Amino acid sequence: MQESILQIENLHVQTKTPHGTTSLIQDVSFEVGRGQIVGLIGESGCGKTVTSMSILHMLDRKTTDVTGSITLQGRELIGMSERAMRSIRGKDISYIMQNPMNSFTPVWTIGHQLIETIRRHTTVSKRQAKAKAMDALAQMNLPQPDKLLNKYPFELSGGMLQRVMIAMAACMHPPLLIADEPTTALDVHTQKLVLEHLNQIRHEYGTAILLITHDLGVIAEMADQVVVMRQGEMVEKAEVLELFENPKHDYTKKLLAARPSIPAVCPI
Amino acid sequence: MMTKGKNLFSHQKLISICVVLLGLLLIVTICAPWIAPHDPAAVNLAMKLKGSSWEYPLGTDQLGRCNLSRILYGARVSLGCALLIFLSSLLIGLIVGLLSGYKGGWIDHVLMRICDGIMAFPNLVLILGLVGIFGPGLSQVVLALMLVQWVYYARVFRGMVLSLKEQNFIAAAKISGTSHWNIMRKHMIPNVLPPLAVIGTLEMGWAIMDISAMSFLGLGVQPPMPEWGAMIHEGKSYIQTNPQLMLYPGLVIMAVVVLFNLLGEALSEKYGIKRRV
Amino acid sequence: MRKKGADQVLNGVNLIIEEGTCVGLLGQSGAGKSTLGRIILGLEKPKAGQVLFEGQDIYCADQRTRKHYRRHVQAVFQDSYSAVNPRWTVEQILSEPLENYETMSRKERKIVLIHWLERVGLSEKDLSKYPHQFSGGQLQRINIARALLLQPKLVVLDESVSSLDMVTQGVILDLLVELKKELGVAYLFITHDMTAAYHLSDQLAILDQGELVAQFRSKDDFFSSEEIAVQKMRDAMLADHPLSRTIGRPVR
Repeated sequence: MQESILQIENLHVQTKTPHGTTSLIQDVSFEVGRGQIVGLIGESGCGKTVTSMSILHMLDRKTTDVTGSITLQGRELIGMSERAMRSIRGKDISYIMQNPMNSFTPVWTIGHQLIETIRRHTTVSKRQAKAKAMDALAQMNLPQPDKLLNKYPFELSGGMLQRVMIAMAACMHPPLLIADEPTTALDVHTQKLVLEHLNQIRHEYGTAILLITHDLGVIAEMADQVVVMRQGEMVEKAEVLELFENPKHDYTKKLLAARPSIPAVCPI
Repeated sequence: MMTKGKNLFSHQKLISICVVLLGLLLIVTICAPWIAPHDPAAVNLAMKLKGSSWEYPLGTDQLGRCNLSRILYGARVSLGCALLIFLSSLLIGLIVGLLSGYKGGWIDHVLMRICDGIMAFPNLVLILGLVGIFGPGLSQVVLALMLVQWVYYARVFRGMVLSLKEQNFIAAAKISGTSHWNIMRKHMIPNVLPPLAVIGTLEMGWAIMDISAMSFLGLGVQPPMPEWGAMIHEGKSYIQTNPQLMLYPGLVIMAVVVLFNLLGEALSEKYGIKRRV
Repeated sequence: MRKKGADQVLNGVNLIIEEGTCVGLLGQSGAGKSTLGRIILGLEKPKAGQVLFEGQDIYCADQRTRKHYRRHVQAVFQDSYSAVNPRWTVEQILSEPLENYETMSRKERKIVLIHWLERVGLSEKDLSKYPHQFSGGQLQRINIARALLLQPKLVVLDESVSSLDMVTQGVILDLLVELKKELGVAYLFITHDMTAAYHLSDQLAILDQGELVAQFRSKDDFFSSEEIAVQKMRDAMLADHPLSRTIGRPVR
């Protein structure tokens, strides 16, 4: 019933260095269905970003070796030409990164960049693209979309930029959205807002979301399924409730125990 | 970043070659008195304007002086002065840039306005002006070049200091109780010098050219001191009959400046540092 | 330079930090927390008001008092890498404060440095390494060692664990708790993370748009408070179990 949007099977990524070949990730398999949120959690350096980069084919083709299978709505992505990937990125797969300031060019307004993205993937006029952009911003409950379009990235706070980035990612209604540590650089008030936006996208457009984070709170709030990674390997994969109640791997148990909880806050 | 335009040589090889050749140049320069076949000032009118021979490998000039010896001794002047100019303007620029950037306030304003004033004039015009005031002569040219060159370094150092100042480790050093003087000495200078070592190689090339240019105009070295630019100046009257009088020193200048430039480019590619155009 | 209404970043802030206690300072970004930290560290002079250390106004004190104050108020910043000189070895980095305040021979200094390195969970062989050879968490330990080796009375922890991942955060927080007990040092823990603040602090305060809107002398008072600012913070916390989630698809 749940159509599979992204399917990763036996993904291996190796990199060639002057000292030999190092394996970055080994044997990773999971899938993300339509309207589902899969959380990918692990410490820094565990291979989370490498995984997302290999889905997007952004790893250096000359020095990295990607084997296995990555299928997006049935299409095999490994081995696809750069040209074909370019038309997929931004339209079929949207990507949100940790530091929103880095995803925007500082010399152009937000509006310019939004409109450019829309026009790159669709055949609409500039005016139509602008309307679409304003609509996307309004959908995310961003205040005064018309004024926002005229602002430059440095005029907005990190949190605001992140929400604009999500609006940008969502406006193409992509079947898959990869969010790489979207809340890490934000303060706690904006974190919830950003997560709410992501949930909204999933709910309204049925977008499949791969949510990469090192924060268990984000997983607890959002994920339907969880994949735990450590040093390039997948150590556990489970439904979120199952993971929290019956963690099987020692590492998962260690992760769950690491976060001290506040006794005075009562769960609903 | 370095995949564009694959060079014939890898950067490391290029750096090594340049260093070796420049090292040879340095040795030759120091050992000129022992290597040169003749006294560069020895006039021998009977032997004037001769071509290459065993006794005079590069021939003689219009006064019968050995060309090779003049070029070898000339290296001492050109390189020695270029080094002097480079080091002294670097030192002045460092002090000014550090003070300006670190202290800020009115010191910064005053010093930067002085720099602006000097930079408003094209280099050569300023040098000519100064030489006009001081009179022709090698030391005057060196002084003029020093006075013009330090401004560039001051600006560069100041920029670096300004960005370093904002770094947390400077705040951390202050919190650890380090005095301003020690912060400048231990934190700023070591972080500011390495890129300048790269730019310095290019500056050496410019300095050699500037000295030669001044000497060529008759404003720098006075005869009979051998110097590459001066030799070109003297040789220009014989350009049709004995072009080698201009060619030899010209080629040497070109070779040395190109070596410095190549080294500077390779180093700046290796360390990712921008150079002045 | 955030323009929030008038050009004021902090407005009428009164804060007391007692010996050996940790005060957690919570608030959104832009609320003025870091500015307050910088003022307390003596890096920025306030337009009005005083900063009294052991009764003395640090901005109007004489040379000797300032030196004494400098020694006793240290800091650990958020980004562990930018807080150290990238060209210095760990030995040089840790020696700097010692050289400024104590006269010791290199051998004596080394003994002190090794003691502190081991205290924070590192070892002697790390002395000759450079910052880029360490992970963020390890380098933060070095920063903590550097802050503590002069045995200061107060350490300002400015978002010191915010850049680290969950597991490392927990470990570093535990280390800070231990060291506080052992050395009797006071902390000002500036953070936006409530759970971390709860873990480390004895008292809590909230800074909102430059004003100290709430201050609690005990942690439990904080959580049972009806103050709007506190409620806002509580609501902003992420769930720690899927059953208490407020955003995603409800689990059975």
